[in-house]
Amino acid sequence: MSEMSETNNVLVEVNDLRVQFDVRDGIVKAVDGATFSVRRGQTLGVIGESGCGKSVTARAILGMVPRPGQVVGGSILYHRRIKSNGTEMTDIVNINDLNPDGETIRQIRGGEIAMIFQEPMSSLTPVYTAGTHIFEAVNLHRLMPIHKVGAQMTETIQAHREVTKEEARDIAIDMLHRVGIPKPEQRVDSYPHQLSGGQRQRVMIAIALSCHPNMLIADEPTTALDVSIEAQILDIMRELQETVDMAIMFITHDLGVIAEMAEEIVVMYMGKVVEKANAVEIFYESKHPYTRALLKSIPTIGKKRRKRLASIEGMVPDPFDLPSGCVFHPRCPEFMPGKCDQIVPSWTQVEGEEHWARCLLYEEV
Amino acid sequence: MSAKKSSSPSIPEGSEASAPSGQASEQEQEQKQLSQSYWALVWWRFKRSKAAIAGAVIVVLSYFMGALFAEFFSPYLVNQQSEYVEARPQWPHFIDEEGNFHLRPFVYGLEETIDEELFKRTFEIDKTKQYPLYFFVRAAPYKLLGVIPMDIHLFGTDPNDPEAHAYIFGTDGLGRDVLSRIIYGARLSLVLGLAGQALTLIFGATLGAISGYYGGGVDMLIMRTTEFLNAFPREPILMALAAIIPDSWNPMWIYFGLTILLAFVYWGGLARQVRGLVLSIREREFVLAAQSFGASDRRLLFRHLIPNTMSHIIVIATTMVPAMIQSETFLGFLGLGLRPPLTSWGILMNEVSNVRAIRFHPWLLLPVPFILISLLGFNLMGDGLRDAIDPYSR
Repeated sequence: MSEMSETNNVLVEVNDLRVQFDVRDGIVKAVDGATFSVRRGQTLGVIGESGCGKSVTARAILGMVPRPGQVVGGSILYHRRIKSNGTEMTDIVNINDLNPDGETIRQIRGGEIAMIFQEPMSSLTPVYTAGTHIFEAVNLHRLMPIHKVGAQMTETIQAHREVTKEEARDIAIDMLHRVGIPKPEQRVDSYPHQLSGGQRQRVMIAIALSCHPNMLIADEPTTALDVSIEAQILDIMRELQETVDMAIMFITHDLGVIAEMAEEIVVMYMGKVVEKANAVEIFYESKHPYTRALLKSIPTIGKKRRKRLASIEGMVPDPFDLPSGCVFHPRCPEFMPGKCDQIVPSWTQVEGEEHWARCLLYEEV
Repeated sequence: MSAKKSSSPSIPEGSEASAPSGQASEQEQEQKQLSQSYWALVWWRFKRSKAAIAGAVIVVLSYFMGALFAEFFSPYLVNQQSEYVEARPQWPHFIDEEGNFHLRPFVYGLEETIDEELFKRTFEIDKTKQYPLYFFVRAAPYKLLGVIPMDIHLFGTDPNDPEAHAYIFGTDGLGRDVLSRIIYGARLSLVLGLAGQALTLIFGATLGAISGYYGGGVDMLIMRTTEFLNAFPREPILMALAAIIPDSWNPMWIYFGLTILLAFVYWGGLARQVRGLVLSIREREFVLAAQSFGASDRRLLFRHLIPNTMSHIIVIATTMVPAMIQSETFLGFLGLGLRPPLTSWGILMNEVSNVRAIRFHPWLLLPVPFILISLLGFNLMGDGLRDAIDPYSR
């Protein structure tokens, strides 16, 4: 059990994950060697510009890479906690090895790792009420056939709620109340079109939390909402995280939001994780030139000097024709000719225990 | 006010008149409109079209009179024969020969004559006899809805007068009342339309949804099958398939066989439409969301995708019911559909499919207006539904 206790805190470990999209014009490496881990109860922020592979990584964790994408390498280790005969054990499941339509992965989806999406407007089925959505999520994980998953799983399944219809309604009302929806007794019977964007996102969060997941993947949950609603949603997520002890993987391109939410931050560029550190270090002592450039491009209030807003030079490279060496070299202010365009940087530890980057500046070549 | 009105089409026209207090009640009205369920909005738009309402009334009435309570609405039983063979219609009258007005309508009796030219027995109207018509008379016993024993008919002649008879649409070659046969015939024809459509809906929606959701080889197979079926002209393929149903089957089996056959020929169109809808809906985020909560493929299909195509499916189904009824009539007319002793509109049409009938007993053609009116009703209703089904459009 000694080995257990070391890894005890880790919930999801992504090692060198590679996802490719084999399309007509060639192969797109949407995720090319992503490595990070999420600890229990912690908030991990994933940041990067559009198309850098954030969402694909998130979907890979649920085994839901969209067609024609394929996971071609690496592993996603999910540390599943199982109670058996009173002792707690951790069972390590590699999500990449699971059948994407199988029982186990379906049980993990929603029941253990839940996800909320960018577009609250279309994330709810238009023909069902808010309450029905919550009952359905609860029922899905209650009705899971026990015998198929093996006897050892029985207790975990029973740990999901065993509920009748009336109880399900009460749970739904309670969940809606917890995510701050006014008059939940009435709203439980509202259809999605009768709810505002913020309310819909709250309903999504309520659905996600109704099965007590260990981890919530939030894929740009506030991008489609206005700023005041965004603040409310973020508050609710933080509050709920404290009460239910759940990890959050928060994906966004908004540096302000990530600063508020995350304890640890992963920066992605063109499918690669380029830097990983705790939030404070990313903002004050960032190492990778891309992270620095990103931070520079935040407009700040109160600067008197008339200055153009800093932006990153150049364009995002063509995904079919990635630059050689470090993919960021054509846009990098610290480009070292002869080095950066030839050598692919490796994942190196820079300063401190938990600060890693993928840059030749910190590598002895 | 007017600007507000044009921007929110969901406020009923009458709201201005009924709400003189203006702003507050208008908002209330709008609030009410917004919180209406989908079907309430559909109904609200549907009832604005007079033609659609007329169509719906025709459809509901014909099912009510024909499919449910045919025995009550028809004055005679369907196979009740009489001595009056191929008798002329005894139209109801209010004014008699002398010009006296009768509040109670009556019919003239029939008189047997010999047609010298044809050497044939015929029945002519005998104006010396008058039989008044009564409502809710006791006549031939029957079972209402197949269970409740009853003998009351909507109208008929005096039950105490054994001589009295009223064949207001005339009789056929076996002395059976044409009006009663039209009403009874509606039952099989209309129910066949609905049952065939229900089967089409189940086949078509399921196969279409599977085709759209899974794509690839399954999609290819299903879509090529529908194209194969659509490549044949409707009528010949129906005729060919109807000819397969063996004569030796009992009439009920033939009825079911024909229902399945119609569904088999018609499912393709619906499947293609459902596939198209599913192709667009499956890309919506709620499908991904449901999947991320652990929903299985079957659950996604039947709980998320198909319910979202339901409004379209219902419209398509309504507009296709008349085609089914028409096909039954058409096959019956050719003698390939249902066969006697069943009574359907197709069989009634088959009985007049010769020159003799048209020349000497044109009243046997009286089912035609009934068929046309009910088909028209379905089409009007379907059109109205199609316009109403998307209340958020405009």
